[in-house]
Amino acid sequence: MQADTLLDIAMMHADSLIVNAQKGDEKALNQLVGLWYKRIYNYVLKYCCDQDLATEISQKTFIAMFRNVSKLNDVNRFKPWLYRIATNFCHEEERKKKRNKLVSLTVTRKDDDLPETIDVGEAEGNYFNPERSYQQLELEEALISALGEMKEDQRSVVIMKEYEGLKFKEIAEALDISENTAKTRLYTGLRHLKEILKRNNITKETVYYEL
Amino acid sequence: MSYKPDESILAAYLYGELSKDEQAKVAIYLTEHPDAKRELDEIKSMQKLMGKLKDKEVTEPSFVFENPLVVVVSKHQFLSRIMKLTIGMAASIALLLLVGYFTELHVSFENQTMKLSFGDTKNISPTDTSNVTEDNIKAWMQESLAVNNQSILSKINDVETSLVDKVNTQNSAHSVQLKSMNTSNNIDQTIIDQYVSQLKEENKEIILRLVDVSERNQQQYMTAMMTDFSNYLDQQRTNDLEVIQTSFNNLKDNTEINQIETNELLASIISTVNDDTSGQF
Repeated sequence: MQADTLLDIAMMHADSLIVNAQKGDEKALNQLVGLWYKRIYNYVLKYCCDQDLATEISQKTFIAMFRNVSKLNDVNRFKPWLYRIATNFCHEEERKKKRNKLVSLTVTRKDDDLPETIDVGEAEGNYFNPERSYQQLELEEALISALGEMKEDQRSVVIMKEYEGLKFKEIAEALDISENTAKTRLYTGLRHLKEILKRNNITKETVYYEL
Repeated sequence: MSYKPDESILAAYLYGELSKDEQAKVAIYLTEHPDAKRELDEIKSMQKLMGKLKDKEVTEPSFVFENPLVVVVSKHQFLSRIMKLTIGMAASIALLLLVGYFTELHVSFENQTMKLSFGDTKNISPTDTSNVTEDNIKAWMQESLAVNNQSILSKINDVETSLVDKVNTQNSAHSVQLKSMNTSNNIDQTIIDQYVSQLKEENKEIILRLVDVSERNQQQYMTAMMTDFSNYLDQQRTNDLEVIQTSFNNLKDNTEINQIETNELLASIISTVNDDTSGQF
Protein backbone atom coordinates (compact mmCIF):
# COMPACT_ATOMS: atom_id res chain seq x y z
CA MET A 1 0.00 0.00 0.00
CA GLN A 2 1.34 3.42 -0.95
CA ALA A 3 1.43 6.02 1.79
CA ASP A 4 -0.02 9.15 0.18
CA THR A 5 -1.62 10.84 3.12
CA LEU A 6 -1.48 10.79 6.86
CA LEU A 7 -4.75 8.93 6.75
CA ASP A 8 -3.15 6.23 4.61
CA ILE A 9 -0.31 5.87 7.12
CA ALA A 10 -2.86 5.57 9.87
CA MET A 11 -4.71 3.02 7.77
CA MET A 12 -1.57 0.92 7.40
CA HIS A 13 -1.37 0.75 11.16
CA ALA A 14 -5.05 0.05 11.14
CA ASP A 15 -4.48 -3.18 9.27
CA SER A 16 -3.53 -4.86 12.52
CA LEU A 17 -6.58 -3.24 14.13
CA ILE A 18 -8.80 -4.82 11.48
CA VAL A 19 -7.21 -8.20 12.06
CA ASN A 20 -7.82 -7.87 15.81
CA ALA A 21 -11.37 -6.65 15.20
CA GLN A 22 -12.00 -9.69 13.04
CA LYS A 23 -11.09 -11.74 16.10
CA GLY A 24 -13.78 -9.89 18.06
CA ASP A 25 -11.52 -7.52 20.01
CA GLU A 26 -13.86 -4.82 21.40
CA LYS A 27 -11.07 -2.31 21.88
CA ALA A 28 -9.88 -2.75 18.29
CA LEU A 29 -13.46 -2.39 17.06
CA ASN A 30 -13.94 0.90 18.94
CA GLN A 31 -10.56 2.14 17.69
CA LEU A 32 -11.73 1.44 14.14
CA VAL A 33 -14.80 3.55 14.89
CA GLY A 34 -12.51 6.32 16.12
CA LEU A 35 -10.53 6.14 12.87
CA TRP A 36 -13.44 6.02 10.47
CA TYR A 37 -16.50 7.56 12.13
CA LYS A 38 -15.83 11.14 11.05
CA ARG A 39 -15.17 10.12 7.44
CA ILE A 40 -18.25 7.95 7.16
CA TYR A 41 -20.44 10.52 8.92
CA ASN A 42 -19.33 13.31 6.57
CA TYR A 43 -19.74 11.08 3.52
CA VAL A 44 -23.27 10.17 4.55
CA LEU A 45 -24.10 13.75 5.53
CA LYS A 46 -23.18 14.99 2.06
CA TYR A 47 -25.12 12.12 0.53
CA CYS A 48 -28.38 12.46 2.45
CA CYS A 49 -28.31 16.16 3.49
CA ASP A 50 -29.65 15.43 6.96
CA GLN A 51 -27.61 15.45 10.16
CA ASP A 52 -29.91 13.17 12.17
CA LEU A 53 -30.11 10.70 9.33
CA ALA A 54 -26.34 10.88 8.86
CA THR A 55 -25.84 9.97 12.53
CA GLU A 56 -28.31 7.10 12.24
CA ILE A 57 -26.80 5.72 9.03
CA SER A 58 -23.24 6.06 10.39
CA GLN A 59 -24.19 4.09 13.48
CA LYS A 60 -25.92 1.45 11.38
CA THR A 61 -22.84 1.24 9.15
CA PHE A 62 -20.54 0.53 12.08
CA ILE A 63 -22.91 -1.98 13.62
CA ALA A 64 -22.94 -3.75 10.24
CA MET A 65 -19.16 -3.52 10.18
CA PHE A 66 -18.89 -5.22 13.63
CA ARG A 67 -21.15 -8.02 12.48
CA ASN A 68 -19.47 -8.63 9.16
CA VAL A 69 -15.82 -7.64 9.54
CA SER A 70 -14.88 -11.23 10.25
CA LYS A 71 -16.14 -12.14 6.77
CA LEU A 72 -13.80 -9.65 5.07
CA ASN A 73 -11.13 -11.66 3.26
CA ASP A 74 -8.70 -8.96 2.21
CA VAL A 75 -7.76 -6.41 4.90
CA ASN A 76 -6.66 -3.96 2.19
CA ARG A 77 -10.20 -3.80 0.90
CA PHE A 78 -11.60 -2.56 4.21
CA LYS A 79 -11.97 1.06 3.05
CA PRO A 80 -14.10 0.46 -0.10
CA TRP A 81 -15.99 -2.23 1.82
CA LEU A 82 -16.91 0.24 4.59
CA TYR A 83 -17.98 2.89 2.05
CA ARG A 84 -20.02 0.23 0.30
CA ILE A 85 -21.94 -0.54 3.49
CA ALA A 86 -22.56 3.15 4.09
CA THR A 87 -23.65 3.71 0.48
CA ASN A 88 -26.06 0.75 0.69
CA PHE A 89 -27.69 2.23 3.79
CA CYS A 90 -27.87 5.60 2.05
CA HIS A 91 -29.60 4.00 -0.96
CA GLU A 92 -32.00 2.25 1.39
CA GLU A 93 -32.91 5.52 3.12
CA GLU A 94 -33.26 7.26 -0.22
CA ARG A 95 -35.70 4.57 -1.35
CA LYS A 96 -37.67 4.91 1.88
CA LYS A 97 -37.84 8.66 1.37
CA LYS A 98 -39.12 8.22 -2.15
CA ARG A 99 -41.70 5.70 -0.99
CA ASN A 100 -42.92 8.11 1.66
CA LYS A 101 -42.84 10.95 -0.85
CA LEU A 102 -40.76 12.99 1.49
CA VAL A 103 -38.09 13.99 -0.93
CA SER A 104 -36.40 17.00 0.50
CA LEU A 105 -34.03 18.87 -1.76
CA THR A 106 -33.18 21.55 0.71
CA VAL A 107 -31.25 21.12 3.89
CA THR A 108 -33.10 21.97 7.03
CA ARG A 109 -30.69 23.35 9.54
CA LYS A 110 -31.48 22.51 13.14
CA ASP A 111 -29.71 24.95 15.34
CA ASP A 112 -30.53 23.27 18.59
CA ASP A 113 -30.32 19.73 19.88
CA LEU A 114 -27.36 18.72 17.72
CA PRO A 115 -24.67 17.93 20.25
CA GLU A 116 -22.69 15.73 17.86
CA THR A 117 -21.73 18.45 15.41
CA ILE A 118 -19.75 21.61 15.78
CA ASP A 119 -19.95 24.14 12.97
CA VAL A 120 -16.62 24.95 11.40
CA GLY A 121 -17.11 28.67 11.94
CA GLU A 122 -17.47 28.21 15.67
CA ALA A 123 -14.44 25.96 15.79
CA GLU A 124 -12.21 28.59 14.18
CA GLY A 125 -11.48 30.15 17.53
CA ASN A 126 -9.69 33.49 17.53
CA TYR A 127 -10.72 34.56 14.06
CA PHE A 128 -14.38 33.74 14.42
CA ASN A 129 -16.38 36.21 12.36
CA PRO A 130 -20.15 35.70 12.72
CA GLU A 131 -21.09 37.18 9.33
CA ARG A 132 -18.46 35.24 7.46
CA SER A 133 -19.34 32.14 9.39
CA TYR A 134 -22.98 32.60 8.48
CA GLN A 135 -22.11 33.03 4.80
CA GLN A 136 -19.91 29.95 5.00
CA LEU A 137 -22.82 28.07 6.52
CA GLU A 138 -25.13 29.29 3.76
CA LEU A 139 -22.65 28.25 1.09
CA GLU A 140 -22.26 24.83 2.70
CA GLU A 141 -26.00 24.38 2.75
CA ALA A 142 -26.25 25.43 -0.89
CA LEU A 143 -23.49 22.98 -1.85
CA ILE A 144 -25.03 20.10 0.10
CA SER A 145 -28.38 20.93 -1.43
CA ALA A 146 -26.83 20.93 -4.91
CA LEU A 147 -25.28 17.51 -4.18
CA GLY A 148 -28.72 16.33 -3.13
CA GLU A 149 -30.11 17.34 -6.52
CA MET A 150 -27.69 15.00 -8.31
CA LYS A 151 -28.51 11.52 -9.48
CA GLU A 152 -27.69 8.98 -6.79
CA ASP A 153 -25.08 7.01 -8.75
CA GLN A 154 -23.24 10.18 -9.76
CA ARG A 155 -23.59 11.70 -6.30
CA SER A 156 -21.86 8.82 -4.52
CA VAL A 157 -18.93 8.85 -7.00
CA VAL A 158 -18.51 12.63 -6.79
CA ILE A 159 -18.51 12.65 -2.96
CA MET A 160 -16.17 9.67 -2.77
CA LYS A 161 -13.67 11.24 -5.14
CA GLU A 162 -14.01 14.92 -4.35
CA TYR A 163 -14.42 14.81 -0.57
CA GLU A 164 -13.26 11.37 0.51
CA GLY A 165 -10.30 11.16 -1.87
CA LEU A 166 -10.89 7.53 -2.80
CA LYS A 167 -8.96 6.12 -5.73
CA PHE A 168 -10.95 5.20 -8.84
CA LYS A 169 -10.17 1.55 -8.06
CA GLU A 170 -11.61 1.89 -4.58
CA ILE A 171 -14.72 3.67 -5.86
CA ALA A 172 -15.21 0.93 -8.43
CA GLU A 173 -14.94 -1.68 -5.69
CA ALA A 174 -17.24 0.19 -3.31
CA LEU A 175 -19.96 0.58 -5.93
CA ASP A 176 -19.33 -2.72 -7.69
CA ILE A 177 -18.77 -1.07 -11.07
CA SER A 178 -15.84 -0.92 -13.47
CA GLU A 179 -13.15 1.71 -13.03
CA ASN A 180 -14.06 3.23 -16.40
CA THR A 181 -17.70 3.51 -15.40
CA ALA A 182 -16.61 5.20 -12.19
CA LYS A 183 -14.58 7.74 -14.15
CA THR A 184 -17.37 8.40 -16.64
CA ARG A 185 -19.91 8.79 -13.85
CA LEU A 186 -17.59 11.15 -12.05
CA TYR A 187 -17.12 13.37 -15.09
CA THR A 188 -20.80 13.46 -16.03
CA GLY A 189 -21.59 14.01 -12.35
CA LEU A 190 -19.24 16.99 -12.12
CA ARG A 191 -20.69 18.41 -15.31
CA HIS A 192 -24.20 17.96 -13.93
CA LEU A 193 -23.26 19.52 -10.60
CA LYS A 194 -21.77 22.48 -12.47
CA GLU A 195 -25.11 22.99 -14.23
CA ILE A 196 -27.02 22.73 -10.93
CA LEU A 197 -24.77 25.29 -9.27
CA LYS A 198 -25.07 27.61 -12.24
CA ARG A 199 -28.84 27.23 -12.17
CA ASN A 200 -28.89 28.03 -8.45
CA ASN A 201 -26.63 31.03 -9.12
CA ILE A 202 -23.77 29.66 -7.04
CA THR A 203 -20.66 30.41 -9.05
CA LYS A 204 -17.12 31.30 -8.08
CA GLU A 205 -17.87 34.96 -8.76
CA THR A 206 -21.00 35.20 -6.61
CA VAL A 207 -19.42 33.25 -3.79
CA TYR A 208 -16.13 35.15 -3.69
CA TYR A 209 -18.12 38.35 -3.78
CA GLU A 210 -19.91 37.26 -0.66
CA LEU A 211 -17.01 35.64 1.18
CA MET B 1 -6.29 11.39 -37.27
CA SER B 2 -8.66 12.90 -34.74
CA TYR B 3 -8.12 12.10 -31.08
CA LYS B 4 -11.02 12.75 -28.74
CA PRO B 5 -10.65 11.85 -25.07
CA ASP B 6 -13.80 10.34 -23.59
CA GLU B 7 -15.27 11.35 -20.25
CA SER B 8 -13.40 8.70 -18.29
CA ILE B 9 -10.08 9.98 -19.62
CA LEU B 10 -11.06 13.57 -18.88
CA ALA B 11 -11.97 12.55 -15.32
CA ALA B 12 -8.59 10.88 -14.84
CA TYR B 13 -6.95 13.98 -16.38
CA LEU B 14 -8.74 16.20 -13.84
CA TYR B 15 -7.20 14.23 -10.98
CA GLY B 16 -3.81 13.80 -12.65
CA GLU B 17 -4.21 10.03 -12.81
CA LEU B 18 -3.15 9.58 -16.46
CA SER B 19 0.12 8.33 -17.87
CA LYS B 20 2.46 11.04 -19.15
CA ASP B 21 1.74 10.19 -22.79
CA GLU B 22 -1.98 10.36 -22.34
CA GLN B 23 -1.69 13.51 -20.27
CA ALA B 24 0.21 15.18 -23.12
CA LYS B 25 -2.34 13.98 -25.67
CA VAL B 26 -5.21 15.46 -23.68
CA ALA B 27 -3.28 18.69 -23.19
CA ILE B 28 -2.79 19.01 -26.97
CA TYR B 29 -6.45 18.18 -27.57
CA LEU B 30 -7.46 20.90 -25.12
CA THR B 31 -5.33 23.54 -26.83
CA GLU B 32 -7.01 22.63 -30.11
CA HIS B 33 -10.52 22.56 -28.65
CA PRO B 34 -11.20 25.69 -26.60
CA ASP B 35 -14.77 24.56 -25.84
CA ALA B 36 -13.55 21.41 -24.13
CA LYS B 37 -10.90 23.42 -22.30
CA ARG B 38 -13.48 25.94 -21.11
CA GLU B 39 -15.67 23.16 -19.75
CA LEU B 40 -12.72 21.61 -17.95
CA ASP B 41 -11.70 25.00 -16.51
CA GLU B 42 -15.24 25.56 -15.31
CA ILE B 43 -15.25 22.18 -13.62
CA LYS B 44 -11.89 22.96 -12.00
CA SER B 45 -13.15 26.27 -10.60
CA MET B 46 -16.27 24.48 -9.38
CA GLN B 47 -14.06 21.95 -7.60
CA LYS B 48 -12.44 24.85 -5.77
CA LEU B 49 -15.87 26.04 -4.77
CA MET B 50 -16.79 22.55 -3.59
CA GLY B 51 -13.69 22.65 -1.41
CA LYS B 52 -15.51 25.26 0.68
CA LEU B 53 -17.74 22.50 2.00
CA LYS B 54 -15.67 21.44 4.99
CA ASP B 55 -16.03 18.34 7.10
CA LYS B 56 -18.27 18.61 10.11
CA GLU B 57 -16.59 17.84 13.37
CA VAL B 58 -18.30 14.92 15.07
CA THR B 59 -17.67 12.90 18.19
CA GLU B 60 -17.98 9.23 17.58
CA PRO B 61 -20.28 7.25 19.85
CA SER B 62 -18.78 4.37 21.78
CA PHE B 63 -20.21 0.96 21.14
CA VAL B 64 -20.85 -1.55 23.89
CA PHE B 65 -20.81 -5.23 23.01
CA GLU B 66 -23.19 -7.33 25.03
CA ASN B 67 -22.19 -10.41 23.13
CA PRO B 68 -20.35 -10.76 19.82
CA LEU B 69 -23.51 -10.26 17.80
CA VAL B 70 -25.47 -7.68 19.79
CA VAL B 71 -24.09 -4.18 19.68
CA VAL B 72 -25.54 -1.27 21.59
CA VAL B 73 -24.76 2.31 20.83
CA SER B 74 -24.20 3.98 24.14
CA LYS B 75 -25.93 7.28 24.53
CA HIS B 76 -23.33 8.51 26.93
CA GLN B 77 -23.66 12.07 25.78
CA PHE B 78 -27.39 12.15 26.37
CA LEU B 79 -26.97 10.41 29.74
CA SER B 80 -24.24 12.76 30.79
CA ARG B 81 -26.48 15.68 29.96
CA ILE B 82 -29.28 14.32 32.15
CA MET B 83 -26.76 13.61 34.89
CA LYS B 84 -25.43 17.14 34.68
CA LEU B 85 -28.94 18.54 34.88
CA THR B 86 -29.88 16.43 37.90
CA ILE B 87 -26.66 17.14 39.75
CA GLY B 88 -27.07 20.83 39.01
CA MET B 89 -30.61 20.87 40.35
CA ALA B 90 -29.63 18.90 43.46
CA ALA B 91 -26.72 21.23 44.10
CA SER B 92 -28.90 24.33 43.80
CA ILE B 93 -31.51 22.89 46.17
CA ALA B 94 -28.77 21.99 48.66
CA LEU B 95 -27.38 25.51 48.37
CA LEU B 96 -30.81 27.02 48.99
CA LEU B 97 -31.29 24.84 52.08
CA LEU B 98 -27.84 25.75 53.36
CA VAL B 99 -28.41 29.47 52.86
CA GLY B 100 -31.80 29.16 54.54
CA TYR B 101 -30.19 27.39 57.49
CA PHE B 102 -27.42 29.94 57.98
CA THR B 103 -29.65 32.97 57.62
CA GLU B 104 -32.21 31.36 59.95
CA LEU B 105 -34.97 31.79 57.45
CA HIS B 106 -38.45 31.21 58.79
CA VAL B 107 -41.44 30.91 56.62
CA SER B 108 -44.85 30.40 58.15
CA PHE B 109 -48.35 30.61 56.83
CA GLU B 110 -51.25 31.05 59.18
CA ASN B 111 -54.57 32.93 59.27
CA GLN B 112 -54.22 33.97 55.63
CA THR B 113 -50.90 35.72 56.31
CA MET B 114 -47.47 34.63 55.21
CA LYS B 115 -44.57 35.44 57.48
CA LEU B 116 -41.05 35.57 56.13
CA SER B 117 -38.29 36.34 58.59
CA PHE B 118 -34.57 36.00 59.15
CA GLY B 119 -33.11 35.33 62.58
CA ASP B 120 -35.27 35.23 65.69
CA THR B 121 -38.94 35.28 65.06
CA LYS B 122 -40.76 38.24 66.55
CA ASN B 123 -44.43 38.30 66.98
CA ILE B 124 -45.50 41.13 64.83
CA SER B 125 -49.16 41.32 64.36
CA PRO B 126 -50.12 41.89 60.82
CA THR B 127 -51.14 45.43 60.02
CA ASP B 128 -54.68 46.24 60.88
CA THR B 129 -56.64 46.36 57.72
CA SER B 130 -60.01 47.31 59.22
CA ASN B 131 -59.68 50.98 58.29
CA VAL B 132 -58.83 50.20 54.69
CA THR B 133 -62.12 51.21 53.14
CA GLU B 134 -62.88 52.78 49.81
CA ASP B 135 -63.58 56.20 51.37
CA ASN B 136 -60.39 56.08 53.37
CA ILE B 137 -58.36 55.21 50.32
CA LYS B 138 -59.99 58.05 48.40
CA ALA B 139 -59.24 60.46 51.20
CA TRP B 140 -55.58 59.28 51.35
CA MET B 141 -55.26 59.57 47.65
CA GLN B 142 -56.70 63.07 47.64
CA GLU B 143 -54.44 64.04 50.51
CA SER B 144 -51.38 62.76 48.78
CA LEU B 145 -52.52 64.29 45.48
CA ALA B 146 -52.99 67.65 47.21
CA VAL B 147 -49.50 67.42 48.70
CA ASN B 148 -48.15 66.40 45.32
CA ASN B 149 -50.00 69.25 43.55
CA GLN B 150 -48.71 71.67 46.14
CA SER B 151 -45.15 70.63 45.58
CA ILE B 152 -45.60 70.70 41.80
CA LEU B 153 -47.13 74.18 42.00
CA SER B 154 -44.27 75.47 44.12
CA LYS B 155 -41.81 73.94 41.65
CA ILE B 156 -43.65 75.54 38.74
CA ASN B 157 -43.57 78.89 40.53
CA ASP B 158 -39.88 78.55 41.14
CA VAL B 159 -39.28 77.72 37.51
CA GLU B 160 -41.50 80.63 36.43
CA THR B 161 -39.68 83.18 38.56
CA SER B 162 -36.32 81.93 37.40
CA LEU B 163 -37.50 82.10 33.79
CA VAL B 164 -38.83 85.66 34.23
CA ASP B 165 -35.52 86.66 35.76
CA LYS B 166 -33.63 85.15 32.90
CA VAL B 167 -35.85 86.82 30.32
CA ASN B 168 -35.44 90.19 32.04
CA THR B 169 -31.68 89.96 32.18
CA GLN B 170 -31.67 88.84 28.59
CA ASN B 171 -33.90 91.78 27.58
CA SER B 172 -31.73 94.34 29.35
CA ALA B 173 -28.66 92.87 27.67
CA HIS B 174 -30.40 93.11 24.33
CA SER B 175 -31.49 96.75 24.89
CA VAL B 176 -27.93 97.72 25.80
CA GLN B 177 -26.74 96.04 22.66
CA LEU B 178 -29.40 97.82 20.60
CA LYS B 179 -28.41 101.21 22.03
CA SER B 180 -24.78 100.66 21.23
CA MET B 181 -25.82 99.65 17.75
CA ASN B 182 -27.87 102.87 17.36
CA THR B 183 -24.98 105.14 18.33
CA SER B 184 -22.77 103.38 15.88
CA ASN B 185 -25.48 103.98 13.27
CA ASN B 186 -25.41 107.79 13.89
CA ILE B 187 -21.71 107.93 13.40
CA ASP B 188 -22.17 106.13 10.19
CA GLN B 189 -24.75 108.69 8.99
CA THR B 190 -22.46 111.70 9.48
CA ILE B 191 -19.61 109.93 7.78
CA ILE B 192 -21.86 109.15 4.85
CA ASP B 193 -23.04 112.79 4.67
CA GLN B 194 -19.45 114.01 4.66
CA TYR B 195 -18.53 111.50 2.07
CA VAL B 196 -21.49 112.47 -0.13
CA SER B 197 -20.74 116.22 0.11
CA GLN B 198 -17.11 115.53 -0.70
CA LEU B 199 -18.20 113.52 -3.68
CA LYS B 200 -20.54 116.30 -4.79
CA GLU B 201 -17.78 118.87 -4.63
CA GLU B 202 -15.44 116.67 -6.51
CA ASN B 203 -18.07 116.09 -9.16
CA LYS B 204 -18.77 119.80 -9.44
CA GLU B 205 -15.09 120.56 -9.96
CA ILE B 206 -14.78 117.88 -12.57
CA ILE B 207 -17.84 119.15 -14.44
CA LEU B 208 -16.67 122.76 -14.30
CA ARG B 209 -13.28 121.79 -15.62
CA LEU B 210 -14.91 119.78 -18.34
CA VAL B 211 -17.15 122.68 -19.39
CA ASP B 212 -14.22 125.06 -19.40
CA VAL B 213 -12.10 122.78 -21.54
CA SER B 214 -14.94 122.10 -23.95
CA GLU B 215 -15.72 125.84 -24.33
CA ARG B 216 -12.12 126.55 -25.12
CA ASN B 217 -12.05 123.78 -27.66
CA GLN B 218 -15.23 125.02 -29.23
CA GLN B 219 -13.92 128.58 -29.54
CA GLN B 220 -10.75 127.35 -31.17
CA TYR B 221 -12.74 125.25 -33.50
CA MET B 222 -15.12 128.12 -34.36
CA THR B 223 -12.32 130.59 -35.12
CA ALA B 224 -10.57 127.98 -37.24
CA MET B 225 -13.79 127.34 -39.07
CA MET B 226 -14.50 131.07 -39.65
CA THR B 227 -11.05 131.73 -41.12
CA ASP B 228 -11.39 128.66 -43.25
CA PHE B 229 -14.75 129.88 -44.49
CA SER B 230 -13.46 133.39 -45.35
CA ASN B 231 -10.52 131.85 -47.19
CA TYR B 232 -12.90 129.69 -49.07
CA LEU B 233 -15.10 132.66 -49.98
CA ASP B 234 -12.08 134.66 -51.23
CA GLN B 235 -10.91 131.75 -53.31
CA GLN B 236 -14.37 131.29 -54.71
CA ARG B 237 -14.63 135.00 -55.66
CA THR B 238 -11.25 135.05 -57.40
CA ASN B 239 -12.20 131.87 -59.21
CA ASP B 240 -15.49 133.38 -60.33
CA LEU B 241 -13.77 136.55 -61.46
CA GLU B 242 -11.28 134.55 -63.45
CA VAL B 243 -14.09 132.61 -65.05
CA ILE B 244 -15.91 135.84 -65.97
CA GLN B 245 -12.67 137.31 -67.34
CA THR B 246 -12.01 134.35 -69.55
CA SER B 247 -15.58 134.25 -70.79
CA PHE B 248 -15.34 137.99 -71.61
CA ASN B 249 -12.08 137.34 -73.45
CA ASN B 250 -13.70 134.54 -75.37
CA LEU B 251 -16.60 136.77 -76.30
CA LYS B 252 -14.20 139.47 -77.42
CA ASP B 253 -12.24 137.03 -79.55
CA ASN B 254 -15.37 135.67 -81.10
CA THR B 255 -16.70 139.13 -82.01
CA GLU B 256 -13.38 140.00 -83.53
CA ILE B 257 -13.38 136.85 -85.61
CA ASN B 258 -16.96 137.51 -86.62
CA GLN B 259 -16.02 141.09 -87.64
CA ILE B 260 -13.17 139.80 -89.76
CA GLU B 261 -15.34 137.14 -91.33
CA THR B 262 -18.12 139.60 -92.18
CA ASN B 263 -15.56 141.97 -93.58
CA GLU B 264 -14.15 139.25 -95.75
CA LEU B 265 -17.61 138.21 -96.80
CA LEU B 266 -18.54 141.76 -97.65
CA ALA B 267 -15.37 142.14 -99.63
CA SER B 268 -16.05 138.98 -101.61
CA ILE B 269 -19.65 140.06 -102.26
CA ILE B 270 -18.50 143.45 -103.44
CA SER B 271 -15.89 141.90 -105.72
CA THR B 272 -18.38 139.47 -107.26
CA VAL B 273 -20.92 142.22 -107.71
CA ASN B 274 -18.27 144.31 -109.42
CA ASP B 275 -17.27 141.45 -111.70
CA ASP B 276 -20.91 140.81 -112.70
CA THR B 277 -21.65 144.38 -113.56
CA SER B 278 -18.53 144.82 -115.62
CA GLY B 279 -19.31 141.68 -117.59
CA GLN B 280 -22.88 142.91 -118.50
CA PHE B 281 -21.69 146.24 -119.67
